[in-house]
Amino acid sequence: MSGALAFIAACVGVGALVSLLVWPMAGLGLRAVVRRASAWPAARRADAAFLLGIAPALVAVAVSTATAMPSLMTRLGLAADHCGGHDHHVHVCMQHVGHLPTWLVAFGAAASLLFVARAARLAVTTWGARRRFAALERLSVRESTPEGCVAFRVPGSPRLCLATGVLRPRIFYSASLAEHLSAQELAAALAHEAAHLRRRDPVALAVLDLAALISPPPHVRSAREAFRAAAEQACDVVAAAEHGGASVARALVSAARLQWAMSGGLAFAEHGLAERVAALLKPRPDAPAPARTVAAFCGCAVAVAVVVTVGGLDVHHAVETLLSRLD
Amino acid sequence: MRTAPPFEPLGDLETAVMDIAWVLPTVTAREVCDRLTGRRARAYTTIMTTVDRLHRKGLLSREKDGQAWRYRPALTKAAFERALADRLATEILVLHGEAGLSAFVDAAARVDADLLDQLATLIDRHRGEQR
Repeated sequence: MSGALAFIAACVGVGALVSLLVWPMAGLGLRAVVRRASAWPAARRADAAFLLGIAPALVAVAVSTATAMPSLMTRLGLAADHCGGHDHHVHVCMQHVGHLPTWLVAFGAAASLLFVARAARLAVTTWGARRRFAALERLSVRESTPEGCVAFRVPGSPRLCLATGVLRPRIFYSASLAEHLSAQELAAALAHEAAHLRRRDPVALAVLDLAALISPPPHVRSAREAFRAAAEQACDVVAAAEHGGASVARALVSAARLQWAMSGGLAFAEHGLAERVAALLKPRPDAPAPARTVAAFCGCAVAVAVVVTVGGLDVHHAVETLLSRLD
Repeated sequence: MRTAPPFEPLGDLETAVMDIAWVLPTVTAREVCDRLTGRRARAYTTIMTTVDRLHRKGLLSREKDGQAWRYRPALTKAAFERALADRLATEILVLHGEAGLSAFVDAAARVDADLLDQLATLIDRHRGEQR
């Protein structure tokens, strides 16, 4: 039992090390995406930020699974014990746990504890959000937007206009927004939120949350910010194609003014509002582009499965060789 | 103006009791108990506890009527729903702004009134040029 736990900890340790190694490269990529903000269409920028955001976690899962696979196959009786032929270096193996480097097991155990703590926090946050959205739904009037999305008209102050839901995508907006925004501005705001649902942005954000469980937090934070900024602009472009850039820009300013009034008139940084308005008023606006985020994620998941299945043994040996150099 | 207390979503029995309180001018725990029939029926002591809890939550005000307390809603159903929706909306934006939701304007962002005026002028100028 303790041998199996040591083996699991070692595999998690390998994943955590890989995640740390991939982080600088993915971080440089993210910086390039942010720097090239005006050169790339917003939808492509969002895709790139998403993929770079999940890269450390994805590579870590691929490598640690491939590392564990030969040993697991042997334990399940699906493959012969492969360790006899290479006793010259470290074994990451359930059958010969005595060969596991102590530092790797300790590092993996610490990484596992961190993972469990982060997963518990994510579960509590997700449960809290579900509970609050469910309570809000019971108070709201359900309707359908012209784009065919489910929307809930919420009573109370004009605070809400947002898209959410991985399994049940829906929009929540304050009914009182109609008192502060013109009909055209409100339609533009709802078209923007509907674009988030069509792009499956809530799914992408949920995947980024999962990636954050096994990635360095500063990296996922930067990726989430870059993804959000680009996704907002991509949805602005879609709404502008339907309602005109000036209407979307005016809706943005009206909504921000409402938020400013409700916050007691506190002035801080404006977080991309000016850039969004400027992009909407460009003489030659961008054409709407479909999101490929979820498709790209599925492609990456398939690639990981192929690497683990086809090249698993090679990756396993490569990891053992590298660990031997470190040991 | 009286600030609405931070209301919590109501449970099933609390909702049933408030639904009765909202349609009558005043009620006693006994009257609520008599009106809750069939699947919603509960023991008198359960109703008394629930009514007292709703009073402590600020949803029912009360005055003595002989040996019993007589309750009246402290606010209308619509006002309660608005206050509850405001609380839930604030919690969602503050506690779950990082979760999988995309707000039209970032709730964490605070904007400057001067900047908003500048942007509004920019949009008006753009509209003028388009005409």
